[in-house]
Amino acid sequence: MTSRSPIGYIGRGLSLNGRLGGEGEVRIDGMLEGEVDMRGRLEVGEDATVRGPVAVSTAVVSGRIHGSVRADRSVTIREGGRIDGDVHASSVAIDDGGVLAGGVHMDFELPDDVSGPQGEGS
Amino acid sequence: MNDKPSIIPAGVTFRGDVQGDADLLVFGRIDGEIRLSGALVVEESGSVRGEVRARSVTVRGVVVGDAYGVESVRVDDGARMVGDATAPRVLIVEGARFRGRIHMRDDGSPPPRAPSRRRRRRGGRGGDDDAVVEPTRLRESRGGGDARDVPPDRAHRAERPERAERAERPAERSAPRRTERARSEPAPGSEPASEPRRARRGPPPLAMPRVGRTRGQRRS
Repeated sequence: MTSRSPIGYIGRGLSLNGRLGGEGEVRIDGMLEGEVDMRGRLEVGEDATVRGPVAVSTAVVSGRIHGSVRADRSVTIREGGRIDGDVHASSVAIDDGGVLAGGVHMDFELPDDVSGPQGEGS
Repeated sequence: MNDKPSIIPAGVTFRGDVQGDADLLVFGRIDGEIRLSGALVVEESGSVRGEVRARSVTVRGVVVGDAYGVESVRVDDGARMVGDATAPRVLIVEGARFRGRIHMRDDGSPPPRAPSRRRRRRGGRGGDDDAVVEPTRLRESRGGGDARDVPPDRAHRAERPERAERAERPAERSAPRRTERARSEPAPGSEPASEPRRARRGPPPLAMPRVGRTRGQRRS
């Protein structure tokens, strides 16, 4: 990444069909259909739509994602945001007004005295 | 267009097609076709492989593919471009490296689909400026391409074959063209059309074999 380069931005009028990869920070206000597989932060703006699996370091979703979201760090669904798909992350937050239609997969330990039949998360 | 320009930042790669009503700055990399009603700028650190169409196209980094500007195509100092540039105004700034043909149209009509072909047909030579005609060897730009769609007349493009580059070119790429060429207007050093397959190996006398091929493929 060049210091000269600003962060990535997919504006409202733009639609991408394909795979976004590499490393960086990108905000999407337009449309992306395909796949995101990127190290860095992805921000999905209010009017944005992403169709396809997403794998990033951090995702902040105020718009819509149709597809699974996998984050090394965290996934946040903001008010008005919606994910239709499963979320895999070590940290997941759903704000009031955010919607997740799918499962949450988080790896963590339970205290010894409660880890019974339910065990740890799948 | 509407508000701030879209940006593909350095470090980020997009493979696929980009289109829409927006201005786009490419600091990273795009492999695929770009169609914008706004302006496209391929910044110094940026590269694009594929056909680009925009209101205006500015190249400061690298573009491999044909560029169509409704208003202009500009290849800046330090930029590298391989492909045809089509626009009412085409600017090649001193210090730019460019390989391809220039089509300047002054009728203001939207970029034709296959301008070089039509122009060749109708206007014959001289209608367009054959500004730069040099052999190309960006084979990677047309990975997996075949030359089915290459119009025969493209064969005439090659005015100044350069052996070194020709020899390096993958065989299949230049074959069909080669054959056409041999048929219509045997070039210096070209082999007879009777041996088209083999002819691939030989130095094809074509200047811009790949330019335009992507276009043909995509359209089909």
